[in-house]
Amino acid sequence: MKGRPKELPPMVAGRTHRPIIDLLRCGPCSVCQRGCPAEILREYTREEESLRGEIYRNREPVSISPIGESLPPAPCQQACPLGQDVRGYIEKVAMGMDGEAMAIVREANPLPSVCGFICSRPCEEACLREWIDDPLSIRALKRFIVEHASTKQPDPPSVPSRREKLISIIGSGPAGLAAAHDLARMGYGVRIFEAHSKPGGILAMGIPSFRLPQRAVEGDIGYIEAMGVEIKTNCRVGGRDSWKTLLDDSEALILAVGAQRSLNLGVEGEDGLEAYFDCLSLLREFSLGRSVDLGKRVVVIGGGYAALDAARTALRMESEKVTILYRRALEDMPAGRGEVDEALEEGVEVQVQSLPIAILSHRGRVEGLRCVRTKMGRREKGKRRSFMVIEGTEFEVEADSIIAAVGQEPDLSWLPHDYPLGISKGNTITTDEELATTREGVFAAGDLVTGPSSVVEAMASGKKAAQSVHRFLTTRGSV
Amino acid sequence: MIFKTCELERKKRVRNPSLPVEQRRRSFDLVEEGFPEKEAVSEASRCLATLSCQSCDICTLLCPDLCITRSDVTGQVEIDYDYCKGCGICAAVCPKKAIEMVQE
Ligand SMILES: Cc1cc2nc3c(=O)[nH]c(=O)nc-3n(C[C@H](O)[C@H](O)[C@H](O)COP(=O)(O)OP(=O)(O)OC[C@H]3O[C@@H](n4cnc5c(N)ncnc54)[C@H](O)[C@@H]3O)c2cc1C
Repeated sequence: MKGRPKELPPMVAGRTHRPIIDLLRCGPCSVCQRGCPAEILREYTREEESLRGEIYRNREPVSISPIGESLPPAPCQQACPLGQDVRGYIEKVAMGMDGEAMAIVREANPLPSVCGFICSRPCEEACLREWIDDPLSIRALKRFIVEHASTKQPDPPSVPSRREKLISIIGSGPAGLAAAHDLARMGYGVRIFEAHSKPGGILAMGIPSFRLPQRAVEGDIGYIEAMGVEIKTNCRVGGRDSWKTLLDDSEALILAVGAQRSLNLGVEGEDGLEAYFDCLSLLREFSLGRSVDLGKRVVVIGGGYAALDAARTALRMESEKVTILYRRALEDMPAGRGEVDEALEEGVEVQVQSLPIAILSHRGRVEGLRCVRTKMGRREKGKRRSFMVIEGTEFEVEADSIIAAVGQEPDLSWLPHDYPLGISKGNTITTDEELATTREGVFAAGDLVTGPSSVVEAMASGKKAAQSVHRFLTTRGSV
Repeated sequence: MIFKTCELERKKRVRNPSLPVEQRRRSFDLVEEGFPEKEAVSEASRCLATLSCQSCDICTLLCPDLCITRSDVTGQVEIDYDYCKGCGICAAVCPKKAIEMVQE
């Protein structure tokens, strides 16, 4: 059968299923061609009075590729770094088929429970309903599926190992766990080394329990362990010896140690102060159930997830007033809009366009900050907005403690310094497109490669590394 | 014959409930609560994928009496019951099962 002529103006958005033609069985009756609505669907864009017209009218037409090539998936699915079949599982929820919905979620997502609570949800930003009312609450629906179908979860597959030696993964955050999950599913033996006492990376040692309950993290990790993945906790890889043995003992290696070193503010009077905290270490203390005295007036500097979580945690401690200082505008905050709104609702005060220039202290103890106001530059696509300092706008903020949450970078102190791995300016590991490092058989994934990102992106990266390891082992043998 | 055409309607997002603000101070309890079953189904039904009639026009093309039409302006699919003989082809071919045959 002949494909559609290429020159026809194409348009399909919002497709829900993909037809696959079995060419061996196709007698060219052309019923499908005659009945194909694809040509007609273009008229969606022309409906002047319907809600559907409203959705599609102002959108760029999606191009249809000729038969034989696959068509683009729905916008939500395209937006998801994991390419989850969002419409597929949502439709199952609407039909009351929670078990089936769970199976679809599981297919692409190794940490479904975690995502149901804290995913950064790029799918909701892409949702077409935005054009007529609101995007769908996709994340909350995923949580619903996981909570309601958990009893109907499919048994974790357990497949005999394909190789003599194991594949080793360093770091048990979303990237490492996703890589382990996929490799185990392909039939490899996998072992994860984790420095901390609990696996999960930032999920276990950072995100507070009022956003992510530990049972969700434990549930997802339990499933991965049941697939045969071994997680060695309290096991920090580092130093020449452990590194060398690890390489000798493994078929391949995936580095997924995240970006967990907090950056300094880089202002006057920052070093060695009392009541001056780095955000991640502080959140880790809280995750371990230890309490830290923050005083009455807490100031948090930054606008990412970490800053918001620290501020909201401080609010739940003995503090009376919690202020976030952020150098850009509210809508520029890298944290999710939902998290920002919740923090405001709870009473966290946010001073935007405020840049700290010095820390004020007395006898080695924090007393406050000196800041200046900033002016925002123009918006440019794909770039963070620039800002300029406004001269003569200095002001002071009082504080009993200061939490710096102005960004993180990977901590590479555990690598032997003469080890031949490419390292970039921001201390991230350089890799090729396939996430292979400059050392054969060693791959890297997650925040370690991209710098601070999100849980879905780190997972997508881990899954990609798993594919690359598989390709490497099937074509080239082992390290 | 009943036609469940384009039920696309404006409908605000159903949000999952959250812990009252007063209760969040000094408490590490989970802020967002989960969807109850009914709300989940209602919210999921807002997804465009769950719409019954997607205006694929297959019924229009295959109707032997040429009595099914779709308005270009509103997108509404209509059956002209003065000419429909009730053969049921439309209901049989509808990929979204949006047409139901009922006894006259
Ligand atoms: C406070 C906070 C809140 C966040 N909230 C969200 C959110 O709501 N939604 C979202 O999408 N994203 C959020 N993020 C971002 C997200 O958590 C990260 O992008 C993601 O966790 C990165 O995953 P990863 O696997 O690359 O690294 P990580 O999660 O950082 O895991 C790395 C792991 O490697 C281990 N490790 C390091 N060195 C060694 C070593 N030498 N030997 C053995 N193990 C080692 C570490 O202990 C750690 O467990 C948040 C981040 C922070 C800091």
